[in-house]
Amino acid sequence: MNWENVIPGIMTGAAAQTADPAMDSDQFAAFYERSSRQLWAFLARTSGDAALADDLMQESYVRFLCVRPLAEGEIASRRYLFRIASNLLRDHWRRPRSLSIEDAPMERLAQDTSAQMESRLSLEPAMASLRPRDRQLLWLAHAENYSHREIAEITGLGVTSIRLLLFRARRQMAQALEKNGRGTL
Amino acid sequence: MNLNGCNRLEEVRHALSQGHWPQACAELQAHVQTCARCAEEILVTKHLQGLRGTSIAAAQPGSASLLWWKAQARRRNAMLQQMERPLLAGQLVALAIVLTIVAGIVMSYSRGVWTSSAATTSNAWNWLLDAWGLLPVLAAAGVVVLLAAVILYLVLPVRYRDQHHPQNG
Repeated sequence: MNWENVIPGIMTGAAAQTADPAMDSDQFAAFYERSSRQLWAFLARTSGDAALADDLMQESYVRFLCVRPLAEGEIASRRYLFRIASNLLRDHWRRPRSLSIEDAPMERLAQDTSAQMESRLSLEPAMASLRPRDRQLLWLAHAENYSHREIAEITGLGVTSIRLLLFRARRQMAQALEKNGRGTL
Repeated sequence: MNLNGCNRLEEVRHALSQGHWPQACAELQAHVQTCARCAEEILVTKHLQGLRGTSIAAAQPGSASLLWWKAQARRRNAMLQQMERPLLAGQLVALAIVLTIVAGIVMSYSRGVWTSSAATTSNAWNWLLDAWGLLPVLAAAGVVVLLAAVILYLVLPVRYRDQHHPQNG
């Protein structure tokens, strides 16, 4: 008895290709083309790290493909993609890290190329004055034009909390912009 | 602290999202000059949309097909792991059977050393045949060999393929 006949596809990997009849590689490529730049902008501007944004964007799409293809339409898929990216960012920020240069492992310092240092310093001043979560909320609300309900779905926060957090973050950012001389309407 | 803000906020948001600001009507512009909430909304939205525009222009997304295949590989690995779980259980059962048989043999033999005349013989195998009979020993050995063969058949080809085709997982 051949087990590959008993469990078709699993041993050859064919199941992975046929599991989602709603989506093929061309459809994914089109969706990627339409959504990847926006996702990268979100990740880069809220993290302030272009290299990290590259990594998290790739991981977001891979997880998205593993979990949910385009079955529920592009708008829902895009929102789901942002949700994955938002969770990845949150996990990144929660990860313990060295607080001082003495605590940092030598091999890590040796790997830190000037390009990486540069990429890490790209956070815009008004954004840098905010907490990471506030940056995310502001970006989703004002750059991506998501409603409070959609932001709640993406971030996992309550709608009431989002309204309050957005109110404070917006005020803080407006003050930072005025302080930096960018307060013109 | 008024979270609801101004009652003309929706109008301002609409003008911003449609790209009508600052070409919106003069009356709305006059309102914004006097309303801190609407002014804040415009300031932040314009700033963030500017950043969004420059970031989108600067983005260099990689290849979609690479991500597609990476996802395929990950899903395939997940399926293989799921499939290997019962195999691991099978291996554990086989190990438990082997250990039980070995323990049984050792216990029977050591008891025999103290109590039976088998202690005097140097041939443990003959003693075992005397004590247990041939049939249970052969049956147990058969089960172990059969399980080992099944596990080898299922596991070895998968690992062989993984080593030789890493792009598929």
